[in-house]
Amino acid sequence: MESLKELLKSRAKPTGGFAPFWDFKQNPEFVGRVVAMRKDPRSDEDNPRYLWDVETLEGEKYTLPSYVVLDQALREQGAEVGKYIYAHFIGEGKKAGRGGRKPFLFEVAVMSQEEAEAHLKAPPKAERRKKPEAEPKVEEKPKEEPKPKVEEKPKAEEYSKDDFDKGRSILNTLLLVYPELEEAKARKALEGQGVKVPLEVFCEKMGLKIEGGKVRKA
Amino acid sequence: MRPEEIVEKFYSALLGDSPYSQPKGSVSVTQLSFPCLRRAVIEILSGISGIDPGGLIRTWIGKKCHETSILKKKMELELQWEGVYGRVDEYDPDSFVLIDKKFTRSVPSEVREHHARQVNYYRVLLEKNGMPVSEMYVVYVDVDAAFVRVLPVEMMPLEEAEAELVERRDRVLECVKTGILPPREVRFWEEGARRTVCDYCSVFSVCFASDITLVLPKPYTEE
Repeated sequence: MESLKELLKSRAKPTGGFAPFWDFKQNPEFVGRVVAMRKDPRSDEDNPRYLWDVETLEGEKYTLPSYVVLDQALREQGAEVGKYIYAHFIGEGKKAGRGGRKPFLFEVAVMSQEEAEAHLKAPPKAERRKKPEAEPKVEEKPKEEPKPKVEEKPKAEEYSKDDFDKGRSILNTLLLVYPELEEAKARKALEGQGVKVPLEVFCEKMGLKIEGGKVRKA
Repeated sequence: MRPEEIVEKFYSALLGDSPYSQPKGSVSVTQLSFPCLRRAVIEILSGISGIDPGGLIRTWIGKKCHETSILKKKMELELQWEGVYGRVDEYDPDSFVLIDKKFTRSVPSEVREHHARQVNYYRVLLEKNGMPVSEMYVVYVDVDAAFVRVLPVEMMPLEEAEAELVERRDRVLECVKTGILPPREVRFWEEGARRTVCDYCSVFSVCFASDITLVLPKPYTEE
């Protein structure tokens, strides 16, 4: 019996799984690209809802939770595989009737791949290589609750989107014109332009690293 | 009228008679031709192009000299393409010859690198506006020693010149958008030269007072 178990164990393959759900309560804003759309098996056959497999700008894969309002808004705005989306959880709305749950409300924007990629000047190579796939991507990781972000580090969502976008744009420019970008220069530039988001947050979100006093692409 | 009043009127007249009519939001070929793009960004962001009285007079002499046509064809041809503005000194639509005139006090034996770049960029503007170019020259006129030297300019492959022009334009516009100054490119004019390009730069003081973002002189206040 033990030998049979060992034999079977040696032939065992890990099952697939889906990317973890994006937790809008912890991270109210999601920015990234749609890599796949799967019919939510719990939704009506006649009126299906979709599970949106997405990828952040840094290449991390997630699935957006199956919220009716979010799914509708994405589809109304023409979201599809390859397009870039912005989803901002703005809170719970009022219930339509006595029963049911309060709907989760979102701000949603959809952008074509061409427009988004033209805007993302010199994206990290790793990100560029990843193409949208027709089939849902099976992750190695088992299905589990999203891991809470490391609390010690400052989180991007603590800062305004405008501030974050401004800082990202500044860093992209700096990396474009300074082949060897000094950390002090990067900090000074952000500070000088009134960006309150710390450099470390940008490094985390933009796939950069600080090494030997220089800011580089990771 | 006192002599001082005449001097004052002279400088006012020179400054009022600006030779530039660069459209707002555009980058000029001249700005893109200098190795140092920092100057272009400072000029666009600050709206100033500082010049000393000597430089002003030299510019005036150059401008007056430009009025004499060599080819007797198209002169001071103002062109635009994809946010780049340029003014071509002379172009002959029959022989497809492009001429750029430089009035200097030091005539080089070979076309200066940034002049060659400038002329190649002018060619891009001409070609994009339906005017082909087959020969390009820089006419150097030494206004002190009074002699002329005509030097042919090597043509870059058009696609290469276009790509370079667009790349440099994008760098400048990106910096203008974010308020970031590109690095200074301090270098000597040529090997063995005593002075650097910065010695002649019109935005020298603003450039060196600034680091990564622009620092303009503060307006005077009583406090």
